[in-house]
Amino acid sequence: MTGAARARVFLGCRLVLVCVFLAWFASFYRDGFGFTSVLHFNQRGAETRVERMRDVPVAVDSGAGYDGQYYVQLAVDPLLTDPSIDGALDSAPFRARRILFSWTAWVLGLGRPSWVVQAYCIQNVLFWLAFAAWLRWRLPGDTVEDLLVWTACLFTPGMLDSTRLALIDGPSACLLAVGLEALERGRSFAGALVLGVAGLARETNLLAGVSVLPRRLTRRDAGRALIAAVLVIVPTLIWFDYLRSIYRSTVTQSLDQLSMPFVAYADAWERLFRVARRAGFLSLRALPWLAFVGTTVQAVHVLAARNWRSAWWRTGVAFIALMLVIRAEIWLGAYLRVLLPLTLAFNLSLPRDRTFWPVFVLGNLGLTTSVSLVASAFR
Amino acid sequence: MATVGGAEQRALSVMVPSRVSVQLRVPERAVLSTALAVDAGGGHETGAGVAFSVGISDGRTYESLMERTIVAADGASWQPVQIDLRRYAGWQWSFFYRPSSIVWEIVFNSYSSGPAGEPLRALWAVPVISGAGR
Repeated sequence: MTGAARARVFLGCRLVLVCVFLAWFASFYRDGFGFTSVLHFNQRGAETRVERMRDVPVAVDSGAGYDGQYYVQLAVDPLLTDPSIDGALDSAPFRARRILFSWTAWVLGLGRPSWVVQAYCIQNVLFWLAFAAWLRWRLPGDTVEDLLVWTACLFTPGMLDSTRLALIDGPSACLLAVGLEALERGRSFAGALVLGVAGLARETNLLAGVSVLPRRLTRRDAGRALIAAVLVIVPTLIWFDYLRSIYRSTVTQSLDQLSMPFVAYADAWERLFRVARRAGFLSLRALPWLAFVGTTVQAVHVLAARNWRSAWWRTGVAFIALMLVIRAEIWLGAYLRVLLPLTLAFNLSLPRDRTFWPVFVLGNLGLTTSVSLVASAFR
Repeated sequence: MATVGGAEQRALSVMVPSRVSVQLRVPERAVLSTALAVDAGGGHETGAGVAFSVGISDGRTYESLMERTIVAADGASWQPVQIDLRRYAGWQWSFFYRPSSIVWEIVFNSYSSGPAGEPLRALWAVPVISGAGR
């Protein structure tokens, strides 16, 4: 096959995968409600909505609902000026700390509540598409390996969960990736600033701040690292200060999300393995265990790589540390979103040698969950 | 006036449960002073008492400032309380928090604690807020 023909084949594969993703997302559209089914408003949440959103039609979930219903309300009141938002959210100070993608939705929707709501619902897709383009630039080769890594980053279950539940984790990981790449290319201040902005999306993104630490212990590098560290932390501090002016001492609500190292991890391993063994390792009920094994392989591989000079490696290690202390509830499924930066660090640092195939397959066992998720929309 | 343990003080005597609130601008370097006691009146169950709490609100966020439970007992005395209100007035390390521009609501709560029995009354020695100025 000539180079041009090969490029066309790989481009075609990528376009097909993008179309699959878009078709999957289109399945969430509801007449009269647009894409609001991804918000997962429960009955109570729909009734106690923030004032500005009362007239916006939203699809109501018959179940318990999910967190997208809270972030979208922040999007229609991004500076929390309306006190009705305090009762509308499950924990206003906690949700408001993750404000970034509520702001972006407000800007995309030009501040009009009905537009802002739809913008919030689709912004995961917009970020996904931008991330797909960015990854193509990051993985320019027309090789099976690059195509697989591209697919694994975009279709990892954490990314799909973020999209179908209108959460902040997918866009947040995209932003982190851009910041880390800038650091890798020596643009330490620009990278640090992007990481600082990403901190406004999720406080855990600040863990990526380890990537601005100096590569060598010289006075110049230490000075630059100090400035970069300030750039990482300042946006969060300013926003935290704003929230403190509203919520005062309650602003730190829900910061105690950690458990003793290894305890929740070991518990999740035992629980998921038991379910998989009982149901059969090839059954659908074994998928969570496979995803869990995949995440563990990612962690082991990143640790073994020992590449202190790499911003991705340092971030991966920071998220491994987080992985070991996250609470048991997070291991019920949210960990695939929370640990998205680890998944990206793993995939983007896979060596193109004979170890690629086994490590790629084992580290991406979670993709079986993604296949199941996407397929469920077409049944 | 209420006398507890031989000491007489001007006091608010309220049924439990009760909630008393006052709205004010807190002066700089303010301290809220009061004293607490339980009026058992016609007797009490062993272990019965009153849980006192003081909180502050700007109409949006409520913060607890003090919680204390006093068991009704013979030989009781006034329990002095001092609450630092400096965070609610004056200059603060913040770009956005301007507490001196806020009319605060200080809330005095009392509710029964321990076994139910004869109704108790909560005694709040008249609260005084002292500070550097208005």
